[in-house]
Amino acid sequence: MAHVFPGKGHAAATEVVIAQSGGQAGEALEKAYVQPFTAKTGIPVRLVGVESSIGELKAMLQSGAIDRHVWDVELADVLSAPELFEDLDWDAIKPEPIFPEARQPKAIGRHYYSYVMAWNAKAKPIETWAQFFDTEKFPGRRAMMSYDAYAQLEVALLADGVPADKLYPLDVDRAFAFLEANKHKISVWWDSGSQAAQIVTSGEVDYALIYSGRVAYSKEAGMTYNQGITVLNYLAVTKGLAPETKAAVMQFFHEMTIPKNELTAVATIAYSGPSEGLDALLTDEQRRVLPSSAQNRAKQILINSEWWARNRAAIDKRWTEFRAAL
Amino acid sequence: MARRQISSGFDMPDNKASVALNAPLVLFLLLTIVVPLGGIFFFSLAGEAHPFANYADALASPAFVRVVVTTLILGVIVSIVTTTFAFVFSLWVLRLPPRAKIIAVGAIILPFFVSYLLRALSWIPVLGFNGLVNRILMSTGLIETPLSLIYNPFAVVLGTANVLFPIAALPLLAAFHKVDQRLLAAASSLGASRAVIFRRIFFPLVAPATLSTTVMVFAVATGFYITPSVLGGGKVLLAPNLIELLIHRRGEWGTGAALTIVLLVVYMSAIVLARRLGNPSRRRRS
Repeated sequence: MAHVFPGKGHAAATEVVIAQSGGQAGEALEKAYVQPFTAKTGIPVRLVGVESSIGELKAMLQSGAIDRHVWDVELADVLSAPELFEDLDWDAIKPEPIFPEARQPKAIGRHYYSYVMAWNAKAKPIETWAQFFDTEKFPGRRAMMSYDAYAQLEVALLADGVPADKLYPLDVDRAFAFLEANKHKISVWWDSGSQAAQIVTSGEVDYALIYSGRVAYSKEAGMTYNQGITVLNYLAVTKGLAPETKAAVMQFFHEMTIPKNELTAVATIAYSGPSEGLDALLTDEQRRVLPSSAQNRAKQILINSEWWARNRAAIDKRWTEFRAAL
Repeated sequence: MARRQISSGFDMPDNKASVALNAPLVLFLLLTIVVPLGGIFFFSLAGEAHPFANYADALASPAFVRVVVTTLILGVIVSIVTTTFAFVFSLWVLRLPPRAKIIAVGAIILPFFVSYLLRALSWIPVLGFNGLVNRILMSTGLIETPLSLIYNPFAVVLGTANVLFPIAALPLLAAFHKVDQRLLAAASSLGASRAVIFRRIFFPLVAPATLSTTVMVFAVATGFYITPSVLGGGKVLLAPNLIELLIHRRGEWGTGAALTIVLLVVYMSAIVLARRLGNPSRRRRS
């Protein structure tokens, strides 16, 4: 591929800086995509931490000095603030086959994670969100997420009997009414993924809505992707970065579409990339636990980022009111 | 008063030196308190419709008002509970032999070296659904299903009071030790009962310290963030947690900053009010 891009020595980018949330996801990014990219091009990549991509990107653009080029984002962020992001050059990326939602004008899919139902190994397994809220047939304590309505409105509507293909546009009033009527069943509203994992594996709660990666390989907790709400996390590019840096970033993005590289990533984290060729390389165990394996994709609902981009602000306010009255 | 006059007499000849010596402190406070607070105030006034739009939003939201009221109520409960326990504890320590005193004081200082998060989390194995208390109660057959001892306002008060206990006990111990034992002995020799000595001599002497301890605990408790988050089970939304939600999770700097300023004003008023009510001489003068 190297001949497509300006080689070393031609006004090539000196460095690519990626602002991302770190942790295991950062480690996976480093091993799976940064290393092969730097090996091919000789361009170093630096990972720096980020708390809120939109806020920090806005501040950086106001200051006028671009010192970070690639951002860890949700698609809804990009759709609501397109003026902050550069158009991607998909001809230059020349992606290997990836799922269609991963190919956006201003963002490229990085990995999927899902909001799923999990249960303590001692509790009776469940299959649907309706059962998650059915404390008669499935007695026990429940936990949900405290800080966001994101994906939880979908969960409420599915539990209330809305068919998956009729979810969007979300009936927000119905979702909040359902949560209001069922909130007494929730013992803990967790504040972080690690807390969620801790309480469901230790048996403090019997059932939890949780990020799939937190329990994927757990022996103390069971989980299913049935009716899971799956979200694709994206990378996007700073508006107005230097052309040679942009060219390097496009080349880096190509690395993210190679199935073999995505396979390296899932050895570090239980969140899988959008390559169509990845599934063939997985073990049976990986197909069972990863959110974007063919078998798990079929069971889940892809979150509608366009809908969330339009409605997020109003729902955030309403969620705060809901939470304050728990 | 006398002491202040003497010290200012000392300072008079060399005012420049005094300014120079205090400059680092003033600069430090300026940089760590005044500037950030100014920044928060600035953010709070950057409303979209008009400068006070963020304040209007915050005060018009039932959730915000509810959260502020809950935080105030829990703050008052925590400060009274903590100070009461610390008061009784300090009375007990006062009468211990010197060696035992050192051990008792050491025991309350020790938890300072353990993080707030760990101290909050360590209640889970004790009060949790599968915790010690529930397991004992269930094995003795007293209850059939575990009690919700945790993830409620009670657990938040308990956890916060537990963490703030040393902060209340240390100043009280210091104040108790300053009480002139000869006054108590004199009262006793004049025939006063122990209850009368406590009520008419000891308590009036330590009352100002007790009040300022209560106020200090209130000020710290209303800013507590980790303990309510862990022990409230997400159901006890307090002001610091709401500010975190607004600023960190959502990037709503404006409303978060406005809420911060509103809280600051409310707390300051509460503290001033408590000091006025608790100080009869000042109340009479004003």
